[in-house]
Amino acid sequence: MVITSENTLSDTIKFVRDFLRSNITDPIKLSRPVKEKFVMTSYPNRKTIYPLITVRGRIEGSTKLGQQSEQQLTNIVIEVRIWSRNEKEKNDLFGEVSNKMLKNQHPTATANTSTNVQLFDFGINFANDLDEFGEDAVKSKISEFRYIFIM
Amino acid sequence: MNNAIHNQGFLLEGEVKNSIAGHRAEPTSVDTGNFLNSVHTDNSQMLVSRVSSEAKYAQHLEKGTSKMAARRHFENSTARKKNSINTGIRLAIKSP
Repeated sequence: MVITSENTLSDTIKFVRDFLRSNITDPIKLSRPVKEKFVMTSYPNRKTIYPLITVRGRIEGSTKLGQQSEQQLTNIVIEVRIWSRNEKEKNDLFGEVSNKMLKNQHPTATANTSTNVQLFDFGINFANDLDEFGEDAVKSKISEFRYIFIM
Repeated sequence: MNNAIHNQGFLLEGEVKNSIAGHRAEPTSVDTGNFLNSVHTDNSQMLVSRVSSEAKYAQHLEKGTSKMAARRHFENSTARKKNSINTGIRLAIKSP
């Protein structure tokens, strides 16, 4: 996986999505239909099967690296949202996501760590609950992670 | 300096309200007007200005739910006004 200057944001989103897909355990792995994905880049329009993780992102500005440089230090924010059936499942999944992402920074020489794909300075901006109203309503937790990328 | 920061809060509040009222790219979020009227700026602290809404469903409108897409009034307004807020504060620092 290489993150390019042409597609910085979509490459970063795909990197995080693929990493979560292959490293987070799906609680309903055995019963989930084959075509249904556990981690997606947008909320599905068709009938949804929970739990579900959505990954989206945005660029929060960039600064020039120096007077004589055309390169930019770009701040990338990745929003990982966990949609689940209950409180425990939501918190367990968030714990797994944040822990796996935290531990996937080094070593730089190892393929598919975040520093290996040139995403540096990992951090968590926030994580907060956003449960829906009513009985049996969907539980959700929004978390934001940040990286910097030099483009 | 304190005034400059507090004024930037009011600037952002106006932008958020414009966004909710449908004057920006985001979808209009006015039904009874409760959400629009609930957006306010808290300038009670020195050098801090907080723009927020007390409406129970404000976060759901902002971030979306399983039945409705996110409207991102606050996030997009902040992104739009980020540069002018920074400039306003920078000018206040430079002026004697």
